Amino acid sequence: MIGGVMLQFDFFAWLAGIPDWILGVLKWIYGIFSYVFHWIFNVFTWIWTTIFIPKNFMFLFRAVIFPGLIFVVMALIWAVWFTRKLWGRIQDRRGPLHMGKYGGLQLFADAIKLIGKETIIPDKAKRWMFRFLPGLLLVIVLLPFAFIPWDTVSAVDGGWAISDLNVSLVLAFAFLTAVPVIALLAGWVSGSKYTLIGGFRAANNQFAAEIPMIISTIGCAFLARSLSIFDISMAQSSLWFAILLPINLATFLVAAIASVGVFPFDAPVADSEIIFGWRTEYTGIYFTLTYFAEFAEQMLYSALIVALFLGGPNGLPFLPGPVNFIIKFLITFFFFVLVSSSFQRLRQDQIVYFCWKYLLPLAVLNVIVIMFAVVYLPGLMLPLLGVG
Amino acid sequence: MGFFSVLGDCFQILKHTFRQVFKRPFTYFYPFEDRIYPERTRGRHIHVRENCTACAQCVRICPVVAIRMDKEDKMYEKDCALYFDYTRCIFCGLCVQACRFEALFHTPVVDLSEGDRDDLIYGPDKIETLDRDPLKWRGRRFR
Repeated sequence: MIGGVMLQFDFFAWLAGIPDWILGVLKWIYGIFSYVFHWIFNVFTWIWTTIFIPKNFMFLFRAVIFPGLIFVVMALIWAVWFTRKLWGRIQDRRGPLHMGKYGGLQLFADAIKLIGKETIIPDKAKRWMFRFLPGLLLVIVLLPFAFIPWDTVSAVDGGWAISDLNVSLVLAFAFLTAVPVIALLAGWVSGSKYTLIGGFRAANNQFAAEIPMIISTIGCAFLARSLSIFDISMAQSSLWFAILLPINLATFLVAAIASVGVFPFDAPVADSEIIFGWRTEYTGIYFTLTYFAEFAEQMLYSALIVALFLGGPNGLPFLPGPVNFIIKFLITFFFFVLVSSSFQRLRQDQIVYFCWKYLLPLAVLNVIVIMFAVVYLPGLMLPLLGVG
Repeated sequence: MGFFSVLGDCFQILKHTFRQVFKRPFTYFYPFEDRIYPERTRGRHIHVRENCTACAQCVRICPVVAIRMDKEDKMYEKDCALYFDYTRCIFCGLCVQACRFEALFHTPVVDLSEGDRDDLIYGPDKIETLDRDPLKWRGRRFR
């Protein structure tokens, strides 16, 4: 450098280094993005590989598609149509018939109408709970379907049954007990006297019906020596419990109807007394959810009756388990609707008197009779149960 | 035995509703299927032009002056055209009784409603035949 001092800062070298610097920054940014991308991609890969292990895939398929959620919701839509058609027939009418073949699309039309309606939330309602409860109700009613034994082969062995616990009967009843609690809560948070009265009536129904219902299932649990719904239905491979426990079948059916709160125990939604009971203030999609939940509960009780008393998936040996189950389920649901459309509405005190004075002793009676039979006639009973 | 009699009643009711499921509904799916009317129902008229002699007895007997006659409109030797005003007609049947030549009858067709009042005056084109225009509603055709 002539006549000058060497600069400590070499400007041209700095200038020449800029592209490298920019490249470094870009690499750094690229590194961050690629890290995040690979992280997400690995999550997807993990899910993908996990699902496509056949066992896992079949579990997902069972839980979501066939005996699981989508099947149950489709069956629910069918059940609403079937119920309305059957009510129409019993009352010398025709039921829905304009939408689709034999009115099959009526429910979709109704659902579109209801979803399209304005959602009105009363001023006095507790808004958050008011919005939350109908969805919770439907979820709680749909969850116990996971324990319904659809197939003679258990879930572990790759059958169509979704899942099973060794206390699934108790768990199913625990879920079902929460339903009137939600009705009472919904009646409370709606902030209207009719909904509150309806909610307390729902609680009253449950108070009346729950104990006969649970005692009706004790006989099945005794005979199968298990609290798992799957084991109970498997214990009926040689003899259905309906033959040993016919009175318990009847008491369970009646108590289930009382617990759901359809006719003749529809005091919670008695539309000629309290406008629509605890569902009065619900409109639009929330009403749709409660309406679906009612039918889902009826279906659930029908499925429980089939699993506990009518042999579950045991039946005609040449048919697969789910087909046997579904045939029996359809017949049971038919009788459910038939019974619930035959009688007039009972008063509150009549419901309680009826359930406590007649259903409860009858349920206990059958359990006691079958206990004595097992103890004193073991030579007759134990081979029937497939034990001896 | 109160309990057992009540139980018996319950099963009676269930039997009834169970039978009811398999019975035909009482309602008719009206525009698509009509109920069967008796043969002698006094519904809308039909005018048989071949037998008509233009004697005007139907016009003369009609208590509500619902029939008008047009003697100029001839298809055969001595017939005439009849115009029935179904806004006036009371379906008393006197015109059919008055007709000696078997040219005027009632039919069992009773669903006469129209969208327009003038369409209820049945001219010779409508009164001489039972055919009518198909009705279209919501994209479906019936009648």
